[in-house]
Amino acid sequence: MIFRSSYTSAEQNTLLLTLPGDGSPVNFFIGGKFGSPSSDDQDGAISLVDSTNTVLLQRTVMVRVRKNANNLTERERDRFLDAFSTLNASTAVYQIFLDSHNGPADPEIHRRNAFLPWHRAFMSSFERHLQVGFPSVTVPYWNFDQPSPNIFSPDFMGSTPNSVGRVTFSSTNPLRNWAIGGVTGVIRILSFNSTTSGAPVESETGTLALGADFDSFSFMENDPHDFAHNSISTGPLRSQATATQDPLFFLLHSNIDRLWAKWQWLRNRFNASDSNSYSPGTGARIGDFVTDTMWPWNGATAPPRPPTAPGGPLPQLAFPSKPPPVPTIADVIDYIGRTQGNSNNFDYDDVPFV
Amino acid sequence: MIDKDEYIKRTQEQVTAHEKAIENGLSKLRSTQNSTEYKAALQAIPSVKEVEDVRKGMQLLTNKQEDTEVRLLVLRKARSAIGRNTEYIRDCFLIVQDTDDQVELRRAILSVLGAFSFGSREFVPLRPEYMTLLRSLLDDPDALIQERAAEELAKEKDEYVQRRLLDGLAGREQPIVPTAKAIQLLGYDIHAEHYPVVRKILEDPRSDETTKVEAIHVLGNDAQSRDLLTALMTDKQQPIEVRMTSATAMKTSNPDYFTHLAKSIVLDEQEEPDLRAVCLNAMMHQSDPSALYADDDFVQKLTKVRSLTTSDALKQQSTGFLTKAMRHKPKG
Repeated sequence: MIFRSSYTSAEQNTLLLTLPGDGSPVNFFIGGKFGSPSSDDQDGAISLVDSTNTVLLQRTVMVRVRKNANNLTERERDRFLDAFSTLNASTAVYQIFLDSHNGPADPEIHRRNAFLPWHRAFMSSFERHLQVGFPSVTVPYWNFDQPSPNIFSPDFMGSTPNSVGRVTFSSTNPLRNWAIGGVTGVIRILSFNSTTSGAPVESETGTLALGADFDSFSFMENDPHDFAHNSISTGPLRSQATATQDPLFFLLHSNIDRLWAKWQWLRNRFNASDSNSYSPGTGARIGDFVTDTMWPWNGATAPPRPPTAPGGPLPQLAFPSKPPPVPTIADVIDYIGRTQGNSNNFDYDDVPFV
Repeated sequence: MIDKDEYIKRTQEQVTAHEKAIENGLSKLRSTQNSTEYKAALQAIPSVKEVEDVRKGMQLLTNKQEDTEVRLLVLRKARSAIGRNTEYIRDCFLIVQDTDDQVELRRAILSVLGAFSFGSREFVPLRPEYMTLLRSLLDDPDALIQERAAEELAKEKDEYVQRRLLDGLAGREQPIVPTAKAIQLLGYDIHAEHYPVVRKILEDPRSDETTKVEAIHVLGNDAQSRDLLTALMTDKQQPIEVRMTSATAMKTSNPDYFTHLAKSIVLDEQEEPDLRAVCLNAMMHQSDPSALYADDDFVQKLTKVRSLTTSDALKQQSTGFLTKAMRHKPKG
């Protein structure tokens, strides 16, 4: 953990606070230390110590961040799979994620500058649904640049498929129960060797080099995004309307969002009113502008929005936070909370706060 | 502890080096004198995006006399730019359609078209042409192209491909893909009228294991398959994958009946440990497994299973179940 005496002051491992002695509070700030995330629930602690070094109070905490899926511990992986499979078993809830990313939703969520903000909110929605029963879980990412033998294994996202692309799972993997509309199992053939290489897509460095402004960077929707989906030679993940039928979808999009987050960090692009951080783009329409609310959480179903709005408002945390139940694009730009009060309450293990 | 200043500096240096590599690569690419030099320059460059470079690349891609390796390289390096140009996308349609052209290139372009259909704005108005192209590829001489076209159409819930697949399964026409694949593709939009044909294939003793497994995966929602799936799940002569897949399909469609059967399998010491683990796994991932965790008799028997079994999978799954049962126990 790190501490700050004000929101923007330098971080410290310990913080000396002088209390006025009349019972009035003194504000200070607590954050996770970059490079030292939790691996288990409540595996961190904050101690309150007085001037004689006596511990007055200790509270356990968790520094919860999205991690490289290939490097998860077995416990982290199994918790995530348990949560994911439990969500999939609640067919009505998982249907939200199918219906929000199907054919009718396509023009609302792809091929436009709102692509990245929308998918960021979509990932938050998914992660918060997982956290209802499994509060220590985050959505890990599939780093396209690296070989990922642990992701594409029988104990995680499934290993070498049979001749028709049916992925194999170990008997203890919760994803063995994966079902969509009563049809069970996962179909996926990779077009590359996941043990020795990454996916054949634009590299992370190449993505970060796409440009200094959002318009230039937004080409990442094509490559790596489209070509990451396309790196699967057989299976639902290849096609827009069926992509969420493969559990790998969420690991893929966690990485797409991480690449955006890393670009924001590298270029300092957190100010929603700065067109370098976000721009609606040429040919913008409703849903692209920074103050527009986002479908389906806004419930809007009049054209040009899709005809239904699955799922209702965005799930909320137990405390006031961003994005709100009806998020705007602006609400997800400063996701890390560079400005106090804006945090979306998620982060990646390789993107520092400052 | 990672030094954040050092980390940002290193990342910035990598980005600068990448930009330099593209600049140098383009300069080499533009000064090449022959095909060999061009190929080497293409291999060295991360991507080709500038208008003139892409135009030159497209001349090579569309030239059937050109080395296939060079044409494939152009496709790989310039694919993003190709996807942003309607004319170039149409050129790709023509190559895929041309059965006299190199099959490796045709397959690669068909795959890339899948990415364009996902995210290219320029592809949107060409969608009807793409669907027509895919339908024509159902009769392509290359089996892989046939299969990929059938899959793309099946995911679009295309009625025409569903009819062709069904006719192939029913023996009314020459199948366009193998039986197991045809069943799997129908699974993207399974209808009640598909079930009898699939059920018949599952019951046919001549069907191989892969075909049976595919049939089971899509029959979960077919009420009339319940007895058949029950028989497969409990028949010790069936291959283990057939039995395990039947268990998962049963759990999806008939959770209460499945639980009744699964409990006895889990507690049966003569049963396959992997099937027992799969049944337990499936029981734990129902929409509401709380009643199971409250079943003291089952919990007690499972505790014994855990201590007696030599199967790591069954031990691990039993431990998982018992841990959750403990958490569900009323306090006090």
